[in-house]
Amino acid sequence: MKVYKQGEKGKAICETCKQVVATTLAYRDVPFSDSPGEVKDILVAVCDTCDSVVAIPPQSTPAIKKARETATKPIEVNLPAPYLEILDLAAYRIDPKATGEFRKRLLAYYIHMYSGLISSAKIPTFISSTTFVGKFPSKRLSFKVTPRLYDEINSIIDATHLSKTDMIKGIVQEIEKDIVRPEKPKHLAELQRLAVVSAA
Amino acid sequence: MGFKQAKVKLLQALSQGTFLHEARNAIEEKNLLSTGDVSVEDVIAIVNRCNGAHHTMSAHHQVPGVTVHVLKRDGWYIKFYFIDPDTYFISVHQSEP
Repeated sequence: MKVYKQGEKGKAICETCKQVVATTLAYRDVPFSDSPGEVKDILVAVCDTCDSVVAIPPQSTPAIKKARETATKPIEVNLPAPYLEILDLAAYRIDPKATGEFRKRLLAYYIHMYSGLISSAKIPTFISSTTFVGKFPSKRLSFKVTPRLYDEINSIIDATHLSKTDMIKGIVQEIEKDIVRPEKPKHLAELQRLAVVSAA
Repeated sequence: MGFKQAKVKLLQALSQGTFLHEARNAIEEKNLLSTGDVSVEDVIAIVNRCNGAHHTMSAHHQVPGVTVHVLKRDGWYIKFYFIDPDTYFISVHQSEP
């Protein structure tokens, strides 16, 4: 099995330079594409022209695996399409330039808010919100969260006795009530800052 | 390079560890081989089950001179290319149902 070493030269495609470039192996902190967090000091191939991280050798995989296991937990729910449309519309109202990633941050914001209510002994009341009538295509909402947010999700589920799917539906309906329906959305300044930061 | 040669070269790279994972300033989480969610042995087993009917190829979207190979087998999707002497994986994941 080949072991790649720091300083070793190679060639790879650089998405920034849009061509095959010369590369050098070096240690860098690299973020995940779809989840929060990063892996510190892993060996990667760096573009000699623009300094982008362009490739990762297999010996960095154990460090990546370990970091993912401690950094993120998966959340997956199937929702009727209107729920995702509301979430996207809310993200768009907050910031038309918001990235797809922002709808997850928006959900996280609300999860954190409701978890805070539970810790002050107030159980969220979103369970009795109206539901959509009719048949809709089902869409999957899939994202990864930090262990802290994962615990907050479980604390809401425990307090409300809802399934994960119904809890997310309830939160989306609260987002609709707070952000989509009103003339002036709630928490707007704070959420706009969050949108900018999450796109950074 | 057709399927047969690509398969031999890919299996050789996997067994010798002469491969890397494409990155765009981030760890691509759709590449389950890079995240350690599937092992090299798992990927070798999938590739071994592939024949020409499971293989397609196309030009790389940014560097047309590089041929991108795709293997689809038993719900798995493996996308890779060669820049000698190394093999680069773009993604290794299960197809969405």
